[in-house]
Amino acid sequence: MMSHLAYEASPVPAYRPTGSPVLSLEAVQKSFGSLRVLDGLTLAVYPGEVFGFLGRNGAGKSTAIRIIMGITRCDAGQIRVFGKSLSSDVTGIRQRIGYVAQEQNMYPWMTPKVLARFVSGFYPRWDEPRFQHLMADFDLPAKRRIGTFSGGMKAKLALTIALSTRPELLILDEPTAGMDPVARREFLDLVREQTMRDGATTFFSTHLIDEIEAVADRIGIVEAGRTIYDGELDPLRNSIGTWSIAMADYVPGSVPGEFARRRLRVLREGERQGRWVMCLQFSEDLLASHEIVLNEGWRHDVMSLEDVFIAVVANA
Amino acid sequence: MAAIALLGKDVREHRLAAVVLSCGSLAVVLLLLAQNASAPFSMSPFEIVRFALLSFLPLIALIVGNRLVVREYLSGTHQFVEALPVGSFLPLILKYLVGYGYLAFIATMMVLLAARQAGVADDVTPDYLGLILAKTLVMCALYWSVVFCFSLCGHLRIALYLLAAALVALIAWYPGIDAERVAPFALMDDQLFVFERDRVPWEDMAGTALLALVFALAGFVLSRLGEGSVVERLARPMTRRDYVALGVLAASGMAIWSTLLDRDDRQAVEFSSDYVVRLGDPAVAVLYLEEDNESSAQDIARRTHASLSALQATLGLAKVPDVKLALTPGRERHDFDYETADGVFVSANWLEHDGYDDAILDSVVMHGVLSAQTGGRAMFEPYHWVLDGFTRWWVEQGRARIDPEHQAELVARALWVLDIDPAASRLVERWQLTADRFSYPGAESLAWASMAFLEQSQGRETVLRLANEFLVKPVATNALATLEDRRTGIASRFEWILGMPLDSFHQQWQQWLTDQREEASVRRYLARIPSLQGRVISRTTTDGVHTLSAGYELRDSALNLSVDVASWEGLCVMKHDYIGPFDTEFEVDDEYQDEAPCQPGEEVHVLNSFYSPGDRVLVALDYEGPDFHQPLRLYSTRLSVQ
Repeated sequence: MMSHLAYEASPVPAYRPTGSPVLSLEAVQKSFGSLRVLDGLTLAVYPGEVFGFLGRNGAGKSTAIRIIMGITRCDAGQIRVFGKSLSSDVTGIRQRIGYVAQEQNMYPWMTPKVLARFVSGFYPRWDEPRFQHLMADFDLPAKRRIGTFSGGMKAKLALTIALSTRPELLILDEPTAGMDPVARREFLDLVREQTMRDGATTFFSTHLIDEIEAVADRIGIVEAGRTIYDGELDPLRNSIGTWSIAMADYVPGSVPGEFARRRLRVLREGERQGRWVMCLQFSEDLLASHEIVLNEGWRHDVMSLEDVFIAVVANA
Repeated sequence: MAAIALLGKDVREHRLAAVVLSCGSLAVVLLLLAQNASAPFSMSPFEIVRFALLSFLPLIALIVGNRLVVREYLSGTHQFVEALPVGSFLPLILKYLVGYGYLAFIATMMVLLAARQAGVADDVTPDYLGLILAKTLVMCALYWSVVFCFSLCGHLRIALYLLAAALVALIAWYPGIDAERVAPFALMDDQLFVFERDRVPWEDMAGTALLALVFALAGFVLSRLGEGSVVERLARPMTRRDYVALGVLAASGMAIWSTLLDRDDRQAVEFSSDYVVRLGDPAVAVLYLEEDNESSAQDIARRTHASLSALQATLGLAKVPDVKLALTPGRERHDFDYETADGVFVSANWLEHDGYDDAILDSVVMHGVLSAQTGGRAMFEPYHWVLDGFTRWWVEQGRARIDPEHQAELVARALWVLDIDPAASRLVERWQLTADRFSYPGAESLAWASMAFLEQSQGRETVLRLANEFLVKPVATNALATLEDRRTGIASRFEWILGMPLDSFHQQWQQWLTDQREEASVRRYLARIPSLQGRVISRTTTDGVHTLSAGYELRDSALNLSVDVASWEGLCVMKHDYIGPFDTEFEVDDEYQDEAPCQPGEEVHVLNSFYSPGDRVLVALDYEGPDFHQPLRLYSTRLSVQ
């Protein structure tokens, strides 16, 4: 039996980065004692793009962000932000970055108004009208103690503060952790809306695939401190597929279709629920054909982006 | 801007607590100063500064450290700050400065408040004040640096504080370590901290400052160790394992401490000679050196033992310290060496004593016993006069009738003192000044007279109640109990026992004394006192030679003092010495005195080129006659040689 699998064309035109990178990491290494957290991390973020920084918990995302922020120093490698070496002017660079941390460690006794007054002392480009405007947009009470805020409100406040500094680069470190789905969606919409309005570059770290789908132009996948994918989302999604065959029909060593082994990479294979399952990543020229002729008994299984991510990460 | 924002944040966050804490601590100091004001010459107000430095300033440092540093790390808000565009050390440097500035402010206010009151009784020069302030600020730096460093150790800080407390206790109390030689302890010496005014203890101050610097730097290094990850890790709440480790640490510390103390438990000094008379319970030992002196030693041992036993029974003392007396034939009759570090140890020459001299010696012994009963506190409190007056009263008439001759001599001396300085009757307020001006025999006669008056007017029980209240009642051993003790002023406690206002007591007591001046025996003693007043002149000639001279003038007196120069059998003696760190007390050596017949109107004593510019000297003019057992201090002054 022959079947045809046609890939759907992406609804948005393919994104192409332009200009010099706003942020670049080259072969960055960092160890804590004997534990190597970053092992040659390399990536680049270009002006105006939303870069999704994807990785499992413990993959090294937060360490990478702490290094980018100049809070932690790397052991080796190069980091350039706005074309400058991070070590040359960390304070000046931070003044151009808006940062929303994973945990909102804001002073609980402060009100947003007091916090804004405190933070404005550090940022020469602090935009008070914008702060007021965003506070109103996000429906945040200006005179209530932050300690009484919910997690979502705190994250919105952190984003408000970050955007009020008129950042050229917005770094978001898993900002939606602990938020309910509605709040998460609201937050992501706000990020997308605001960054599009400002044209600011956004570096969005998360382990949640749907967040990346919602906002990112390009992604970098980090695993065990290394970049295992750096590029657009659709080519990644299109390059990976899963096929299965009933165990009774499976001939060991067989493949789902008529293509040479050398043109694909087996990401994962094994028995699952009475079927032999193969997850394959294709090379670009095969992908370009948009058509795969399947051998008899094999069927194509639908894959979510999360499945793609798991397959890539597991194989790494 | 960043620094201002950070400072503004800390001020806003802690302002209420800061105001409450500073007002509270200054209120405590003011309360203590108010208590002390009732007797400004008994205890220097700077002792209150020392008390504050030893008791509640470390507590304030702990609270400040907890609010400024610990809270920031425990709540994780430091992570918010470290992501801001600011240097990594600036927030911590500002915290260090804010904490130290706050402690320094409180300490400075304490010193200034104390100086204001000290000025009433003492010569508070800018140099002296500067020295006290410098020592105080250096100690504050040490406290804050230690707290700052430990605060960055998260939950380990509790163990570190326990360890530090154990170390301090070890150095302060372990007999094998002389704490007075170790930097911060030497700076806080109970005598030197307050009274040292001429010598700047550079080494101790530098040592303390260096220690502070080490702790501060350790704090900064710790905060950057592993880029702050160590501090962050330590800031997490304690686990069960941490609690167990802390318990093991505390138990081990206690075990080591008790082992060390057992191993180095110091044995009390014991006479090893064969020529010792020993009596037990209460323990009295008398060293007499030669067989010829044995009977006198037996007498003095029995007398002391009987007096001590009676005192113990009368006042209900659970235990009295061991008393040791050593015969030292080389000494003058009234020259006693008195130590209380190891029981009561007195060396004296009693071989030529008469009854009055014996009473003085017995007073010295009882003074030591009762002073030990108060933990040495009575020496520095406004009730020091109760200790002196009661011991003399106990020796003279506590168990038997007083010898009339003793009474006459004591009354005559007391009348003479009051004749020159009527304000000396205000014992609570003026005791220490009277002792300073008229020497201890003069002040003691007044204190004894007040007890004698009380016995006559209100009965023996009132005198004993007074002794119980001030000398037997356990002294406070911690800051809170001390505050509680001081809640009621000395004057109020006195009035409560007497059942009359202090002013009435003064009037009645003075009247009682005045009534006795017409007694024949008293008149006889008074008539032997030259009606003299002294003067001292310090000058430096144009060629730089310093001259100290002293002379005497006749003075008017309401008493029948002697104005007949020819009848004065005694000598006028100028005693002089450098003023040591302890400004309030003066014991002169024999070699620093000049004896001469008393000649009014003449320059009787002249001393050339003995002192140099910058020296501070105490000069006393005494009359030493055959009738009085102890000298009469005609005049005393302190000089700064220019």
